Amino acid sequence: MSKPPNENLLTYILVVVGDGGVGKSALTIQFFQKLFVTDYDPTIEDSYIQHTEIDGHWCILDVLDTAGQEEFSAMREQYMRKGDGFLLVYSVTDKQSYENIRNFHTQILRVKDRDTYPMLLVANKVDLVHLRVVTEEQGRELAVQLKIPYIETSAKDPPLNVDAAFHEVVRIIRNQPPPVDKKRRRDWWKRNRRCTLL
Amino acid sequence: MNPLSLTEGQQPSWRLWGEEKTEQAVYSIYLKKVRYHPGLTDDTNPETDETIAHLEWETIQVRLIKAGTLKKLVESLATESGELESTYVNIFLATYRSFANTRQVLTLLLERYWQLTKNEVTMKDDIRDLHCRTIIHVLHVWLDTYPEDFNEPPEFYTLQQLLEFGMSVNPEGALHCHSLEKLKKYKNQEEQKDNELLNHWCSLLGKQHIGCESVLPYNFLEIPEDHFASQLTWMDATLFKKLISYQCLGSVWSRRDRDSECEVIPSTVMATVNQFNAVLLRVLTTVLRDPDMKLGERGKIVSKWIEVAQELRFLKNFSSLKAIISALQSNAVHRLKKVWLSIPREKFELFTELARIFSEENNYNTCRNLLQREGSAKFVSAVGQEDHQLQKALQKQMLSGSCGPMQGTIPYLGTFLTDLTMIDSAIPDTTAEGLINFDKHRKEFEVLAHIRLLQSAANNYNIVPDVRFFAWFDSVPVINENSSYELSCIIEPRYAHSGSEKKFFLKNTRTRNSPCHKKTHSTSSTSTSSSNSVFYDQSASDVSMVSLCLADSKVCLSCSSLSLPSLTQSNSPGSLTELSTAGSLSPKSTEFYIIRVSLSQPGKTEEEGINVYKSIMLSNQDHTKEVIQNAMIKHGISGSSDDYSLAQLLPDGEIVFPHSANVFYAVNTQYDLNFILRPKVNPEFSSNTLKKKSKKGMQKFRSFVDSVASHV
Repeated sequence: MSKPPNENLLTYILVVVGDGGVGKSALTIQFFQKLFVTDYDPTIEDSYIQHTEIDGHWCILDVLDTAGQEEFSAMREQYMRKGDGFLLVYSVTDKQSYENIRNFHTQILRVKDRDTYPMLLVANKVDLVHLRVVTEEQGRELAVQLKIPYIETSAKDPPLNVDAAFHEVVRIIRNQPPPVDKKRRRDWWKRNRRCTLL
Repeated sequence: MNPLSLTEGQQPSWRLWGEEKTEQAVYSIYLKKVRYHPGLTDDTNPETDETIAHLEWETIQVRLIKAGTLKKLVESLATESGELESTYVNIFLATYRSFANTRQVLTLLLERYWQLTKNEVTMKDDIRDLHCRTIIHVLHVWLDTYPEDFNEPPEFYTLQQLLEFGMSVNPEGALHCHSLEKLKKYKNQEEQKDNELLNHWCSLLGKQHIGCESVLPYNFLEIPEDHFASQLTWMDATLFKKLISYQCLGSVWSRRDRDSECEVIPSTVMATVNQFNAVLLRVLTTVLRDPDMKLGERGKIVSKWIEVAQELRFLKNFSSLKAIISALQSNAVHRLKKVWLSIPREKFELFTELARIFSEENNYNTCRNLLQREGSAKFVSAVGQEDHQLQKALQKQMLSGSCGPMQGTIPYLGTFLTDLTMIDSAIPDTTAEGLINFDKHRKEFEVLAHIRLLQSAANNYNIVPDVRFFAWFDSVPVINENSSYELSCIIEPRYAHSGSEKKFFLKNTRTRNSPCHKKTHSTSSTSTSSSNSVFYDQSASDVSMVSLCLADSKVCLSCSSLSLPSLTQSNSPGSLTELSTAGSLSPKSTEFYIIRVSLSQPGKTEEEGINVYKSIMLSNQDHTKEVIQNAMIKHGISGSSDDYSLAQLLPDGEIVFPHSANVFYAVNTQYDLNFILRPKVNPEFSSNTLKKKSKKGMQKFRSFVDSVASHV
């Protein structure tokens, strides 16, 4: 692996959504764990930022995971507005979390005011074979209906597809056609906030 | 990072030296550089700092338990020499529920005591005595800091156990008295099980519902912002002070719905979350509930909330502040482009400045720093350099000298909950040897200690609760998330580029019977047309207009208060529809229409007189009398409702509602919900229930519709 170049890299904000208890935080932690040198501190500035090379292009991944705040209503929408790509996570041991994926999907499209957006359906906890209630077929079927790709993951040691899931979202973002009408509609809002963004 | 950084104060003189392993425990050995104190210690006097520079330093070894069996962890509450290890005791008592329950810990402590007294442990007599006294000390600390651990009605098993123990140690002793006192207190409380806060809000509601006159709720726009903010802060502070910090632990909160293994129900965390949501929903409802509201009016409401948010910032109430900001940033409100453009520029800037506090950039760095800086400070320290509007407001407040007495701080709890969830995911519960990983709990305690520091700071608020404010708070109906989006789309329709919604709006425009209004104020007229079709044409619309099943004010209590049964049911994990569930579960949930009521003015013909209609909510509980009363309030008329009659205007006549009718079921939903409120001229006017009018009436109606349209 080559060294990260020094020039300004593209930053992708990836948002992890899903019900409480589906293992979102475990996925995020697993993705960053290799970076914790000694001790983990959730409060420091760059806890959830990673420089990485995906398909030969370096970039910065900024992961937003609000695990623990699921019950705070209408909070998600702010994070969704910021996200460049989404991991829609459910647990294969929890049918309800699978069924709620549609709501997250709808909500993201509404917030983005778009018909499609870079998203990945993540079936988590596949290591718990004996507790599994949502089959791979059901997962794939949902993915087809939502027109998004599907991946199976486990954050238990040894992890399965954790890095792959985050990287896949970046690929989906990179492969999408450049948004034509997105800019136009956001203008009215940005016009007023000249000083907020760098 | 040094695991002791927060708990032991910032001491750069700590150095990890190594590890010591036994079969039942692993210890970290630290070397600590301390001042050498020959004899008298005088380290309380700061002035000696310079003079002691020449004194010698010495290095001592400190052994901290890193992991161990439960038995070893309990033994470590005292140092080897038998002294109370106070930092460790704090951490242990704050976090033990992740790996043990009260009974287990208590039993181990008492067993240890008896072992010591029965000489089953070899040690010197004076040290043994010290050990025994320390155990009693720990029990006192426990009873004082976490009394709720022992509140186990109806048997109070652990408290009885403690009572017996105290009795056998010393019947006259402090421990025995202490436990007896707690037992009495709990037994008394058991009779009035409900939480006192819940009772308080309930009684307010009761008053309001039983005798309407006794507590008249405020009108939203009339509540002064500072008063508004301080009342919200009173609510938040009351709940935050009651928060039991260990319920925030990842092992309790983030596993809340996964298994029943965990014996702790995070009810105090839930109460805080519910209050946050209640504030948020009040923002959504006031902004969105009336689709017919004029643009300027809606802008005023948004501005009002921004002003309240500014006051909350100065009160350092980050919980309600975040709730208001989140509501204004929620999709349903955020997308209302015209409304945002209508508010004054400085208000918009103020909003951006306030929203920046909660920016998720750099792991919420802004908010974290602010909490560190102001958490236990007396006042708002300073605002960002770019925050021009906040600076102005702060200066103004300082000049007027209204900073007032010392203030507390209320944090937004969500950040702590996420941090604790992450720690719980990142650090294993047990070590490879199967020992309890106590280092994890030291880490968790750093967060808990911060919460508890802020809790004690929250005592500094000095706010007098105002019943009329709570009456207002509880009178606001609650819209669920889906409905708020749908209402938002009625207020400002979506761009016509995307599929389903577009069809929906076209369809509804097509199915309308009345003429389309093409007036300059295009927003309001479009919204008017679609809103109507939605309300009266439910069957024709294939879009689920779940929408207007807004809950009535009784249901909103269940959202704002503590742990009513319907709440626990509705809090399914992260469900998007949780709020609507809460509404529909309740037997009192109501459906309603929004109707428009015009006022007929005496001395003018109706065509002239009717120009402004007011939109009011009509629930399935409303009888004619209430509807007339509501309409009178909206039109600003005083007097008795008996002097007015209410009628729905139909293309070929009108329905006059008898006084006892349930208007919701009596209205004709085939047509627009246009009503007229008339002063009674002669008594027979109201005696007829349905009056059919001639063709003339039809014309009259048409011209009415046009006159209304021209005034939109």
